[in-house]
Amino acid sequence: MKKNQDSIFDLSPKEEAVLTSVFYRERYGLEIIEAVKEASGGKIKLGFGSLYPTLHKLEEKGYLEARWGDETPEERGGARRRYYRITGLGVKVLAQKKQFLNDLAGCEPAWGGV
Amino acid sequence: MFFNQDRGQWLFKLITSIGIISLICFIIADVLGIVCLFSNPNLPKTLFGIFLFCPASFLLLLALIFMLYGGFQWYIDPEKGTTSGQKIIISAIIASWVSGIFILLSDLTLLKIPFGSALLSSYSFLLLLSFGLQVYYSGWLAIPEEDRYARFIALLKEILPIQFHEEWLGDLQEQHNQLIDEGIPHWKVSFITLLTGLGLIRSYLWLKFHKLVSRWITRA
Repeated sequence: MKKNQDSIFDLSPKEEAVLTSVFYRERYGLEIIEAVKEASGGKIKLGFGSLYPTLHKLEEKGYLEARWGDETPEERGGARRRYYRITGLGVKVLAQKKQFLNDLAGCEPAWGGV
Repeated sequence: MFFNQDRGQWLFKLITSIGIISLICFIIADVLGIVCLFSNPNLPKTLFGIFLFCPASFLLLLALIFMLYGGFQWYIDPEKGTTSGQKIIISAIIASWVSGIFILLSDLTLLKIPFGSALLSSYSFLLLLSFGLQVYYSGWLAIPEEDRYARFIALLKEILPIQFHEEWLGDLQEQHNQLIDEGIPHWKVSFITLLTGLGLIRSYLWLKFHKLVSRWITRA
């Protein structure tokens, strides 16, 4: 239980962005980069240098799972895509983090505020 | 191409050679200056250090102007092509001058270490840059565009372990083709692909390091 409570602080902003990008549907590496770029209006550019380590960490924590795609597109030189999707634990952690931030924003200071 | 290729190649080699000789003189002068300042600094020694530092910096500046001029002629698009290179070189000069003058005027022992490190690292970087430019212009640009990309991918395949080839290099290739389809200039596509390739190497090094640390922690 302790681990579960701490896990919301385990999630870096980059990890949170990657995890959220696969919330509704599975995506592959390049697609995640494009989704993050599009959602931020081009302000956040996730590089290949940080994407794969982030995906690896999330997979290791059990928040993501991956599978190989069946198609072998020509524009990839016949290489298959590796799709990532959020796990039940990932959904739970994201929801907990959102809840925590909402609670924090609505928290009344004991001294009545400034 | 807005200038004669053969003439440009000859001129560039000459310019780069002048640049490299000047840089070597500069490094020798600075090493002497640093040695001089490290042993019991006093006013004559500081003046000697400044005396060594100023002409050497002038030489470097001259060499850089020559090199930039040479590089500038090789670009089809001079406006965008040289901007980033100039910025790097100017930053390096400013960094070495600011730190150099500050240390030359002060007498604190601890500050001589960053001074020496800043000077040596920035000049080593500039020297590498001049060699890199020569290799780039005389070797890499002589290879046709498609072959360059194929060679780069082959190099990445050599560096990265086979288990990452399909996913990582597939994504890289897809991005490369997307950029070409979007009509982005070739030099920019090559630059982005190069950065992406370096990013993949960084990812691999991170994973390697991460595994190593995990193993150490498990053992401990």
